[in-house]
Amino acid sequence: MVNLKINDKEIIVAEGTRLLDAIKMAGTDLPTLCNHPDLEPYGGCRLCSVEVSRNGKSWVTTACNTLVEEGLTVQTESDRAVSTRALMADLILSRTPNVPAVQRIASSLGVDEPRFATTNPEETCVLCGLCIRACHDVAKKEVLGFVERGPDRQVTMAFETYDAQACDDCNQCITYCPTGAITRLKGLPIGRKWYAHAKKWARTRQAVQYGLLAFFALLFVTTSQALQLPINISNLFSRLDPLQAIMANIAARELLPLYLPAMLTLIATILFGRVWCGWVCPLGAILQLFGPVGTRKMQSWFRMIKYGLLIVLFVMALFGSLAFMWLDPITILVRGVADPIGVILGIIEMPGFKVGTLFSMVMLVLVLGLNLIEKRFWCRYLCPLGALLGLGSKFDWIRRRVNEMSCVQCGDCVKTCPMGAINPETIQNDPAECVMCLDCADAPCPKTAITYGRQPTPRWNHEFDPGRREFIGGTATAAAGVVLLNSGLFQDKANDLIRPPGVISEKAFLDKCIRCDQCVQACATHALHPVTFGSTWDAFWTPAINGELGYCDYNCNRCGQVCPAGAIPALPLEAKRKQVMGVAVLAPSLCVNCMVCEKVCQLKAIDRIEIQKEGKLKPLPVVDPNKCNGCGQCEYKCPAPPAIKVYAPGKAPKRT
Amino acid sequence: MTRLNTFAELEQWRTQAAAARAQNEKCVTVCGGTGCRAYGSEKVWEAFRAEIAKQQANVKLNYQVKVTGCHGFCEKGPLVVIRPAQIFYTRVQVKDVPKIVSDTLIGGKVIERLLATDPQTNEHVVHEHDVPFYKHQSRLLLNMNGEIDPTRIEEYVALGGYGAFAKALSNMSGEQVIAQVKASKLRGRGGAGFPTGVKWETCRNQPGEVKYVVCNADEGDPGAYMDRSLIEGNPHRLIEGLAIGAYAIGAQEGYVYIRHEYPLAVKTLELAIKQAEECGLLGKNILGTKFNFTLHVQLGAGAFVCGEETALMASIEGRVGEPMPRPPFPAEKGLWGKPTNINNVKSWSSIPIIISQGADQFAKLGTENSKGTTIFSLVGKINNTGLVEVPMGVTLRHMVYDIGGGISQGKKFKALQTGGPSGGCIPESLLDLPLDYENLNAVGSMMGSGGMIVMDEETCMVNIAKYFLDFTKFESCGKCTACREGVRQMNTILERITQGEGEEGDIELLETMGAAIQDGALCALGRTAPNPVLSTIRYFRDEYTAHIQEQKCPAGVCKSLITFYIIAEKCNGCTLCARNCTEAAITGELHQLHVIDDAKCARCGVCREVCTHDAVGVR
Repeated sequence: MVNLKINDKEIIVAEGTRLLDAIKMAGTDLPTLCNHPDLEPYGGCRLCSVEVSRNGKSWVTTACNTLVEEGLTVQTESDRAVSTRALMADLILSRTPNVPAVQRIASSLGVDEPRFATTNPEETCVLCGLCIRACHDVAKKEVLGFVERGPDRQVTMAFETYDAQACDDCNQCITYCPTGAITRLKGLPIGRKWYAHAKKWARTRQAVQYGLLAFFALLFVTTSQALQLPINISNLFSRLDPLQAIMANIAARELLPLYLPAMLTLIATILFGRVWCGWVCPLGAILQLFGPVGTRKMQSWFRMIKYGLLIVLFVMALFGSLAFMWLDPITILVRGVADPIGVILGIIEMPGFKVGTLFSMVMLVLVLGLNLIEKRFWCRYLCPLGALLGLGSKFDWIRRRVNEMSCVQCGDCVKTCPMGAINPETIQNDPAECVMCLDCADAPCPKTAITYGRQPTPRWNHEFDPGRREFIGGTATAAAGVVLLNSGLFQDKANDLIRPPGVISEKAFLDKCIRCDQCVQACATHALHPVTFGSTWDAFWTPAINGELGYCDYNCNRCGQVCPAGAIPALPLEAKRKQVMGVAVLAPSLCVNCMVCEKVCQLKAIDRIEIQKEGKLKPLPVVDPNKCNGCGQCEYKCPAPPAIKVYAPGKAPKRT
Repeated sequence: MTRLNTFAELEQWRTQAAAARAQNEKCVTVCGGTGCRAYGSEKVWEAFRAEIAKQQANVKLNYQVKVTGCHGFCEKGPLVVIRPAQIFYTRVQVKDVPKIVSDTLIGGKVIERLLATDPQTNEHVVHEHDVPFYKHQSRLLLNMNGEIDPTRIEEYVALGGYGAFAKALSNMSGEQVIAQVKASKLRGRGGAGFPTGVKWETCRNQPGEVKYVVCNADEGDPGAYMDRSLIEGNPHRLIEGLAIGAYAIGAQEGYVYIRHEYPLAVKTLELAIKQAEECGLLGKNILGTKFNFTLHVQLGAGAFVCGEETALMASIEGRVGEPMPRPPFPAEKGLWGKPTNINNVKSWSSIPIIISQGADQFAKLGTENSKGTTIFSLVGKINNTGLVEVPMGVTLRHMVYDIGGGISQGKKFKALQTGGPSGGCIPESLLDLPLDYENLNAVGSMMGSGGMIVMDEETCMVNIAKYFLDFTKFESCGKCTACREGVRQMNTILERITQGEGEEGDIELLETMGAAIQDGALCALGRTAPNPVLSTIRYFRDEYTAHIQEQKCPAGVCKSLITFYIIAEKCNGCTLCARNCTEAAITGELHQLHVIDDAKCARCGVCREVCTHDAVGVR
């Protein structure tokens, strides 16, 4: 054992201990750049300079390569030691002013701004030689080396060319590099296998994501153009959506088998995190395309909004209301695109295009607009589906991992993350915020420190875990919402909506309808329209037949086919024809006795009687309420509207 | 050459060689040092041989022509000494040879024209030992340089060569040899001045069978060439010193790391090693004992930093010449991880002298703490440039004025730079300083390996500091921050100052940086690199201030800060300056006053150099 004095503290350490370690034991941590516990001391950066004295003689030396000696006195904070370290830090910072690892060390030594001239502001290599020593001593290769001397010194391979036979891409040099400069050396594709691997996965993700977006578009087109696919998968994205699935199941208080595919998404989330958001979600794919990345402009509590919304949806579903399901990303996209954009692009012919329909795209426009503030603003802060999957991701099996031994906190991955998920200080991320897009592991990480792998112990306690406040707040808001919705305060009009065929109970319909408006999109005659203003708030964005704009076609049952929740039952054509949506009522005073209604009624529910009118004998249509299903064809075709009009069951005006 | 198997055989051979030498007492010695060769001495000795052979037909001459090592008075080469009369001829050209042969060799007359002159009295000096340049020296190491033919081992043996080695091998143990070296108080002549005996002892006491001795002959300081001259003139003394050291330390192998830029020294040394091996003075069972010693020559590729011992070892091992942090010291962990003793050429060459003459005799020379002699290469603005060997403790003034013959062209002395590019500048006020390790360190310079550059009043001290930093910046290996970045940044600041862009606070910044680099650098190159700056700031601070505050270069050197002008009273209108001006910046008719157009002037100073009337001034 050796006795020595470090900063006036007597300590006893084992013989052969390096002074740097002894100083650490004494409670002072000296920053270093060229030192690494795995490697022989090098003495290059000089950042661990300390003043030592013995027998009245004192001198400055580097602690990394000095061994402890009996009776040695060490001063880490003497004027000589401090000014030597500060000058070294200043010189290194002047060489590499934009390297965060160097900036942090310099700052810890009191140097915030470089005092000397910088030759190349892009320089990242501090010439510590760690890469070369790792190559020689750890990897037992001799691929890397220095060339030139003095100010021209640089790291390279023989003849400055990459020799694939000499270098087996073991990447030890990258692991040991303290700044990440090694992978940026000109002309040397160091780490190329790793990058090729990372790129392959990132490219795979892009292919899947945009392939699925294209598939989504295809389904969209087939739905709106009434093209028949071999199997009915037009509502596939909705059925994979666990938010819709969970909420609809809860609100309907029954098991909806249509939503079984959503289990796949939940399982994938538990295994791989928010892969839905990064790989599948069509809205996410669009939002990934533009917007500023790498910044965290919003305060951290913004991330809690999505949990709040999720809880609101959940609590309301418990109360049997799906009134806010228009916050689901799939519904936003379908509704936003299906009607107005469809009209603009001419995919949908919508004779009665009007403000109410335009209002369908409000949410989508808002979501796209927010993306201009931060990329995936919606996904970061608002998406309740993201919140749901995020909760699952917090316990996921495979997640983004950062090799802390290798990471130098350069922050380059922070700049690429579309979710702003990576904490700029720690470089770690809350798995709930990561959409597993794999972009950060691609070329940006100069240290190849980012991998996606198994998490040994899943645990709570992440950066953006929702707390009690979010639960209480969300529950309270939801309860208030339910109360308000049912209070009648907003039920300014009696519920006289004509629902799609097969809907029997208005209450049961609202408990299942997730407001996706796919039926609206699928409706062949564009009779179905989203309810906006002018009805109850609870029915907002639910589908209803607008008799002025269309009618329920005798030979169409597509609304029921596309409904993911079964709110509109998927009925065979025969059965659908028998479903009563309402009843047609004639206003004889307005009737021009043309008898078009009689001609068009395929149910033969309209009869005629002869009446005396203006001195002539004229035919007058008579509706048989027992035969009429309220399809509204008569109303739509009537040349003198509203001479015949369909009313919801039980809402028909009393006539004599 | 026959192999010597016993000590008696060596002595017998010595007796024969001495007799042969006495017989050939009459000889013409021509200096074959690199300096004299550059002056054409090869042609001179060939001319002598031809002329003597020609005259031999008529007269019996009996003169041998002997090519020796460097005599040291390189300023006056090619040097010729006629022995035994010791007539010393300087600047001898081929055309002088027939006259020397006819007048001096045959006629016994001295040719005055070729004699050296005493710069103080302007009188001719006939004999070598009376020349003031030599008179004030104590030539211990250089003593044989003018006497022997370095390519013939017999010559060295005749003068007692390998006697010390034989003495050590036959009568002394390794400890006794080290005790002698310690008693002599010899200190490392490479510049750092570490006691040689102590170093040897440390190395000897290290465990392990395999040890090495290394001679550092990587003499890289600009202007220094004493190691080269020692090897060129007397390689066997170096070999003998290394052999004694190897015996004392317990090494069986040695390396001489020598610059590839010294082809003559390499050739001479390799030949000497071959001769010593043939005589059994190197190799296995030397002189019939159990001692084996093999000596290798390793060529350096010219990096200055390889003069640093750890970098030198790396270079021998075939790695990039970069210093390693010490400890471990080479004595503990050196070449290929084995205990290694590294000394400079001068240190090794001192060993045979110490062993043969005794440590006491050696220690009589020099000061209390610095014993023996040291060799300087005296260069710069001085009359007698050349190699000078003096006992430690002589004053700088003695060096400059008595040996060096004062400043050339009668200019004023300004500063003396010692220690090579990492030494410091010493001002006139300190000229009476006795030369030794401690004194030079105390005034901010160092002994170094022995360069001594004299500067006159027309030297800008800021510019000179920049010059040396330019050198160290380029020669830095680049391993440590302090040296690679620090010296570069100091150099950048100096460049700014010499370009008139100096800022308030630059001097203080340079001082802070210098102190931190001296403390913080990895090896001696970096630790001493700020010396030129710090010492010039210390003694010539006003020059720095003038550059920064007044935008003036007092010595008239820094181009951005000076203006050339014609002094009207002195100009006679000879047009010489105008004709030589490369920029056509000087106008004026014959016999009329000339004028320099400052806008066109490139400040090259040609006008000032060519003017025979000192009519071009600088301000």
